[in-house]
Amino acid sequence: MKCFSWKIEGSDTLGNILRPVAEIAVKYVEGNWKYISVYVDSGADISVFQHSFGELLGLNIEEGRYAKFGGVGGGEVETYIHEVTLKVGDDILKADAAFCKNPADRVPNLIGRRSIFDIFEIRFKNIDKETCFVRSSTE
Amino acid sequence: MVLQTKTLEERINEDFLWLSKNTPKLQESFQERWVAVVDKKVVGVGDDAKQAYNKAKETCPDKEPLLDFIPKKELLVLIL
Repeated sequence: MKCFSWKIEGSDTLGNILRPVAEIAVKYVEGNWKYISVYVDSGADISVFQHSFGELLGLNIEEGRYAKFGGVGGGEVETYIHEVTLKVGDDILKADAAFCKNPADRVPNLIGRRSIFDIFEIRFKNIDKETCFVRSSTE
Repeated sequence: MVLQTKTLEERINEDFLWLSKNTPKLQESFQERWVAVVDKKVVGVGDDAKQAYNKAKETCPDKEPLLDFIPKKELLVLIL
């Protein structure tokens, strides 16, 4: 089991708030691991990263599978989906992730349900202010 | 005397905890920018991930940085 403390972030309306995040490593094909802090979002269908992070991984972003996502506010984000390798704690897995088409899209980098929530039981522990990943499948 | 060297994972974990506690301070200077952290210090800043990463590697060529995108001070509702 790997647990990550929630992150303190400032907001103009509610002051400091705590958000569930994780430190993961990502790589594409034979590239090197790149370490990034991401939100853990059980409401997201798939993991999403900004365009420039995909470039850093060595992706040719527009070679992926095109997908358009809608959010709560009705805005849309155009992306391309690629299979990347993720490391969470000691666990390594293949996962689909969407990378923004537009370099100017400032979406939060996050891990969503596809590929990840199938493999880990993810516990949002409000009392302890941490999120724990428990490997529940060998897929 | 025994010198203890941190593993990469241990150091990244420490940097993650540091980021988790210090983001409100970073939001004062780096909203909507990428930062790269090594040994609990911001060693690279950029408008995109590559800029921040490359600056960090110039400063600390032997260490992998932990990257983060510093959010605006607004509420988030994340459902994609």
